[in-house]
Amino acid sequence: MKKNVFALVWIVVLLVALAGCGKSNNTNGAAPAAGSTAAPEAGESAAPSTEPVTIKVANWSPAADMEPVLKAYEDSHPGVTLEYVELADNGDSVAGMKKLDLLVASGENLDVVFMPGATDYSQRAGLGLLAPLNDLITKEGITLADEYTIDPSVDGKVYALPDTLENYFVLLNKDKLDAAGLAVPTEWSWDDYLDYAAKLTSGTGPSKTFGTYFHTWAMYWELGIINQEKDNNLVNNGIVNIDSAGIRKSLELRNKAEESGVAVPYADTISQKLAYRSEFFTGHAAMIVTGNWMIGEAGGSEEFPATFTTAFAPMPSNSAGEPSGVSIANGNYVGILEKSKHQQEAYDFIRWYSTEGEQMQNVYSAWKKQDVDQFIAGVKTKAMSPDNIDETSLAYVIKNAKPAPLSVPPTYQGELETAFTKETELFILKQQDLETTISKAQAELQKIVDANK
Amino acid sequence: MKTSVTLPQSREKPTAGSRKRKRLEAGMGYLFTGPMLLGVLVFTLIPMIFSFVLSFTKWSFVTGFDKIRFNGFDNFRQLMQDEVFLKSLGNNFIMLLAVPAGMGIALILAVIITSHVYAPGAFKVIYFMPQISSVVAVAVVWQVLFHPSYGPVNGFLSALGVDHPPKWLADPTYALPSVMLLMIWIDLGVSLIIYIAGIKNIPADLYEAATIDGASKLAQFRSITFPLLTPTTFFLLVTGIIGNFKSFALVKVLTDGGPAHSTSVVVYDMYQTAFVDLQTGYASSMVMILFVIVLAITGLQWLGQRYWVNY
Repeated sequence: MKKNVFALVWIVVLLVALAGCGKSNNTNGAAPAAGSTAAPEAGESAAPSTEPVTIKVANWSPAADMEPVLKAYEDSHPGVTLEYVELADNGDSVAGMKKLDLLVASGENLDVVFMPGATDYSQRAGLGLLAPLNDLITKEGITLADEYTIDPSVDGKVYALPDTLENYFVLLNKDKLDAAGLAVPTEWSWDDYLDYAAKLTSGTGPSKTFGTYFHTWAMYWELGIINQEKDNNLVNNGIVNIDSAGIRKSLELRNKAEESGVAVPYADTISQKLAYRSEFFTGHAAMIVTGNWMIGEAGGSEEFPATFTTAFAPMPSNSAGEPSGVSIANGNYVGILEKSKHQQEAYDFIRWYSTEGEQMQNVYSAWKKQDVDQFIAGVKTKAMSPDNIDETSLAYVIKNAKPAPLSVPPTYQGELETAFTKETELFILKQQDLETTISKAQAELQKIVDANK
Repeated sequence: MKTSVTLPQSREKPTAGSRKRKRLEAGMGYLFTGPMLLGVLVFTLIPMIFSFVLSFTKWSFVTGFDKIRFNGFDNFRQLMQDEVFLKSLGNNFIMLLAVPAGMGIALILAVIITSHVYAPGAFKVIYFMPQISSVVAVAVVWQVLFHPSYGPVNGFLSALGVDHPPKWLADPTYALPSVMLLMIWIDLGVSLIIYIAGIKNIPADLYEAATIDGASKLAQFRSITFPLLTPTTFFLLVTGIIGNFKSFALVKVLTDGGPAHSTSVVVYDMYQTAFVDLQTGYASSMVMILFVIVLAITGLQWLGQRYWVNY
């Protein structure tokens, strides 16, 4: 009896201790913590920009890359202190997003957050994490379409500004191209692409050079729609786009490349978890479809030094008559957290960062007024081995790119991509034929769309 | 804290009766187990209850507590139609085969190692090696061994004249068996060591008596070794099955649940749902189903043990 009473007392004590913990956690998470961490001096939030303000900026880029830009902003905007939160230690954006979610969930008072691509952006906008920027944009009096190449609106509301511009093109190993007697293409279709891949394939065994490499990402299963001006997503305005000529074209392209042995086999890609950078820079694959973030890296990086000249070609078209170089415009997005206490200051910063800040960092941005020539020159000066970047073709590709407006995907884009990839994997691994793949994928994606209505 | 202060006082007055001492002892007991109890409470029990509550909600952990929305049994209803989840659950059950298979191999090896080889210690170390290596390292080594085009496994098979060797990890039909093979290989060491300990505990006179009676080695194994090892087998079976249901790291590193979800398991699906799709509530309901299944299987084993376990 007595023993039981004692045990009860102990449990009560433990529970009380715990409840104490819980309560203090709650208050931390909810409101007043902002006062202590985000703005030590600006306790009363009524005062605007005159009071010193600290803005926490979260990005997955290495601190060394970000800090000079943030420093420049602080210098030109007295009273604003920027605190950088590095989300990943190796520039890995996927790991960065996981860290970001955990930080947000644990009540960290971040103000400005970066997101690597429309899928991550729309998912978080859909969850209500990001503050709508429409009022702030109206207040500044700008029209987004005049400022940026990308339209970042989700269901008519803007939750983030476009940061970098990401459209797609083809990287080519110019040394191998020269050896095969091929010119750098300026207008071409996917058939020409396969033709090039066949001519660039050589050797056998582990040292074989493949014509091309397709990564595991969903975009490599939809190459025939991401080069379209319109309807360039899996689901456009609620209509599932799988049973279409574009997707058929995409899957046939992958299948032809796989069967003729001009692309790195998909089985190797997934079982060895191949990475596109190493495949290209070691010369294992002579061409890859990729995007703007690789422009700087064409000159080599610490991990993958450039041992050959890299040339650039526009995105191929679906058939000979259509224009090359059309590609969906995706990119990084920068938004403000809903619970940020300094919406106006944060907005001022992201406006500056997505325009002049980008220019400083010499990344290819979605800002319409950026100086392309300066960007190309900048790429060369920053590169480790600038001579390995073929400047002529780079300039051609950038100046002739036709970024197609990307309909920012629905908030369940991730689910769509998983379901679609599952079917295409079965197709490329010869578990089901093209028509089965199309009809099954169409039905599955329709289910997801219906469930999210 | 107070109990430790009262300790010298109570020693001064031993006449206060055994009741007080008992209470003191119990108090000390709670004091010493307190930190552990607190740990279990904070890091296991409360999260479990929380997860149970969450399984009836639609919620994402990044959005804050004010956005929790209860939706009754919707999650469970949705799970019953979720092809990926059902596939993962099915894979979990297929994967269970790895437990008895691994135990069988471990038992045979244990018998051989205890009595029939020179330097048994060296063998124990060799078989235990994969267990102490990191799963990631082991997975990467096997990834290379299983390389569909140039890997040693397929090299060997084509040398034997197999025209189209399986693509192992990249083949929807062979991926799951490949993963199970690795699981058996990794967990062999633990079962082996425990079996060896069990075998060492069997009194030698039983074998002597059997030898005098003229029983063959096989008969000895069947009538002495195996029955006397049933408690060990039972222990390994229960822990093995629970461990098997929780397998995650190997799947994550080796195949990411692919190709086409062929190696996805419930815990992997849950991770994907909770931390990639950010659907905490839905993922919690997956965990609840897993919990109920593991509990049921373990319960069945406890009930069934009286028919085959000899203590």
